[in-house]
Amino acid sequence: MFTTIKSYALDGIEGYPVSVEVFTQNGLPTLDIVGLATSAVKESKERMRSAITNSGFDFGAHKTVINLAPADIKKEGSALDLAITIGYLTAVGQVPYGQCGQYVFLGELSLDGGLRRINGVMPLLISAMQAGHKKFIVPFDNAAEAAYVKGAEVYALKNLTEVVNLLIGLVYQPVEPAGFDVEEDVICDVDIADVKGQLLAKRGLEIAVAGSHNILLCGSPGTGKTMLAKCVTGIMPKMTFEEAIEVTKIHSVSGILREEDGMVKHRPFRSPHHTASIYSLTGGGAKAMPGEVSLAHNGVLFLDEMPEYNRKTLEALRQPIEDGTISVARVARAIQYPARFMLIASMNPCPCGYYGSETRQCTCTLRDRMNYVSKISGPLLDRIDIYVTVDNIEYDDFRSRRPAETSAVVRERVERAREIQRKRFSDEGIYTNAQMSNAAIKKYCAIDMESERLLEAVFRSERLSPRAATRILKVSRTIADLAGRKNISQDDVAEAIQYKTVDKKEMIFA
Amino acid sequence: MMLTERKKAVIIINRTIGIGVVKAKKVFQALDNKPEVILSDVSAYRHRLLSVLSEKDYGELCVSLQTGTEEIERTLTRKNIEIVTCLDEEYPKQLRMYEDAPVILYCKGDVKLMQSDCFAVVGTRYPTKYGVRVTEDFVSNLSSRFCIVSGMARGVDSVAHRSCLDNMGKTIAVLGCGVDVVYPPENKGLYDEIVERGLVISEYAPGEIANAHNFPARNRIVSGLSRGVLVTEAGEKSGTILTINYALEQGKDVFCVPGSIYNKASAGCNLYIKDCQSRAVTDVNDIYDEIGLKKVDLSKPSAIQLDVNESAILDELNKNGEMHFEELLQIVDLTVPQLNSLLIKMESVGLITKTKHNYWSV
Repeated sequence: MFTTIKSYALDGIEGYPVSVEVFTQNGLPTLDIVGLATSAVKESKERMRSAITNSGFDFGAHKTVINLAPADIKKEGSALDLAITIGYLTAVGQVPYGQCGQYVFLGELSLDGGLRRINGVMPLLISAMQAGHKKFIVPFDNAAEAAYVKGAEVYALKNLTEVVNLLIGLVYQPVEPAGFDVEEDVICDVDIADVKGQLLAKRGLEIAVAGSHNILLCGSPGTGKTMLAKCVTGIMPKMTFEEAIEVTKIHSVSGILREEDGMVKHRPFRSPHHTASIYSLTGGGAKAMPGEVSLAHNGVLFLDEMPEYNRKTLEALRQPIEDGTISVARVARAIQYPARFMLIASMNPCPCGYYGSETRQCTCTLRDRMNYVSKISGPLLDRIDIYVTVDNIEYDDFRSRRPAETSAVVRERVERAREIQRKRFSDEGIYTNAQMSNAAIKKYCAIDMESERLLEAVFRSERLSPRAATRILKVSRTIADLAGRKNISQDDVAEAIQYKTVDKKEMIFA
Repeated sequence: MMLTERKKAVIIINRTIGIGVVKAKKVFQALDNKPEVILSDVSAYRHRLLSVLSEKDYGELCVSLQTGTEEIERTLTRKNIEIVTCLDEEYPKQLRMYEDAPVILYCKGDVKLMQSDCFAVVGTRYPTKYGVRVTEDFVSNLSSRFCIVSGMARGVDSVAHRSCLDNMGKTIAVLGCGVDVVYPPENKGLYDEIVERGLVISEYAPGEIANAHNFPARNRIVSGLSRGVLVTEAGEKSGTILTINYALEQGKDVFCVPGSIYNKASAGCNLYIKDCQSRAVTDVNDIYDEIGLKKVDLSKPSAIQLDVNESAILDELNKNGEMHFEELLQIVDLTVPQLNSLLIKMESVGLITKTKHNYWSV
């Protein structure tokens, strides 16, 4: 007998259709899987054998060939288990083929016939939906994730027996579609109101988030750089459904999606350790999996102690920062992963950390400091728009007349500013001020004579590079957006100057 | 470039082992300031030379003569270096009077600058923010009247050159290594700019690497060229102290800017002021006064109308010296963005300056 069962396999964050063709005939009992199956797929025949027997079916003795079409693409992972098994059962006639053709089968089998959770259910379902498929059978543990795919009729089942029951006509309820609740509170470990003082730095972060500018925090150990960085996801605008889907796809493929969530609802905050390799950041490995830059998509990539990172690793960040995507090329394939993130970097002013500190003596020599700063990649530094020095200032909350603002209040302002940017750039193909090209800067960052004079004065006295001036303009646009001003005022430019970036020489000789 | 016969002879004599600056000058005298005569036939002048040289020195001179000058000529041409000897017209007249002044000056840049009115600005290699600011303040004014001379070392020297160039002034860097060697390496940009718009000189042959014991010696040229020496910041034991001593020996006016008595970086300046060996100066007019030049108007533009917040900030800064942004935030009724822009605007009109990141002072 011959049957064909539909399934889907992952290629990056997209799925592609796989037809599982099973042919059985009488002869010496053998079971062969062809169609570039890798070892995880080849092993599936052992799982199938055991699962079929333990679910009360008879494995029988047939000469069987299973073909995974298209036969020229490598098949990986265990998600094809279910399709192969159903294919076999229908081919040998233990289960009537009946409605099998309507379903797409996804799932890994355990030896006792149970269905196990697989990675990448959301991207697989979305791709299949686009190809016109409507009905899906997925493992029960993937139900939460599948519930977010609009319009799909998904049956999340616990084991092989249930799958067969469904196929022979027992009634199962499809998964209840889940709504995406944008009103849900943003979960963030640290509220910005919990950070005492540091008003200058907080404001810097607010501007950075509002325009999606990359930011560098510099300060002695213990001044709160890391804590400030952790607040950022709390003041970022809530994700839209589309953004959340993008993030979920990547996280689902990487297998880091939490089972009970089903969807990533909060902007990711990724902080890879400074020993991270290039490939862990950009993505790679035998399967060309997404790296930290992609996992941080639509969220924050935090590089703590930036000069400690391998220089080449940092260099590799340039392309994703520029393009918002990263292309991971491996022997078998080249995959594009989205990687649009906001970069937050932190560093000490010197190796010992106390250069310029009020409280402790720095023990570094000039050469130490030069070596330290020279580890930062210059081109990467060029892509950072805002620079904030974080100082250890005793801050008396009781004396202060200002109540600390909560993340929610700041987020509201940020969301308004982002809204203005979205409207402004609707025809430009970009979303935020940080992404403005030189032409866009000319168009949208016009400044008046007064501001021009101010910029000129700073330009001369500080010997700014033209690039630095461009960054000041971009940041002043964001500050104006935060204030809801249509035109950039002198105040905006002045504040942008306060947060202007420094070059390496200034870091050493500051 | 083609060297004159005289320059060739001076090079040969200058590089002879055993003949230093003083002996070389005696040789010139013995040859009636026409050293080129030895090029054709040195033995004819053996008798005259032996009146100032030993037999051994004479032997070395003959060796040096045989080596010729082709190689050095090629180097000078390739690197675009000019030489000025103490027998030349262009040799700075200020230096002529000193016995130990160099015989040859290797120059890159505008040689004529050596004839102009020069003023030395020197100081520690590790200045504090205060030292940098003082240097910039003084040089910005001095550079309009003088050519600023310094040693292109790290710290105050570099700041002096840089600030002079920024104010469109003329500047001379006196190096303790060959004029084609950039030391410290981070000053490459500054060096190029000085060659372009000023002058770099050295008594050391091209290619001579930076050597610690050369540096004190170049300080005598720094002070020798100059009408006076301004020390903006100097520790108690620093190379700057050597420059001061040379300057005092040469009878130059030395001006020191006083610093805090608790700050070691200013200890040298304060010491010389205390010993009455130098004059304490607090603004550039003190210098002009001493050397008999017309004073300049240093008052800050006062036409600016201050509002409540601005004057509150100025008052507090005057009281406390230096204050952090967040401290200032507590004394005014402004939001963070408002204070941010206010401070930058006040800085742009010169009312206040940023001393460190986030720190402000008057």
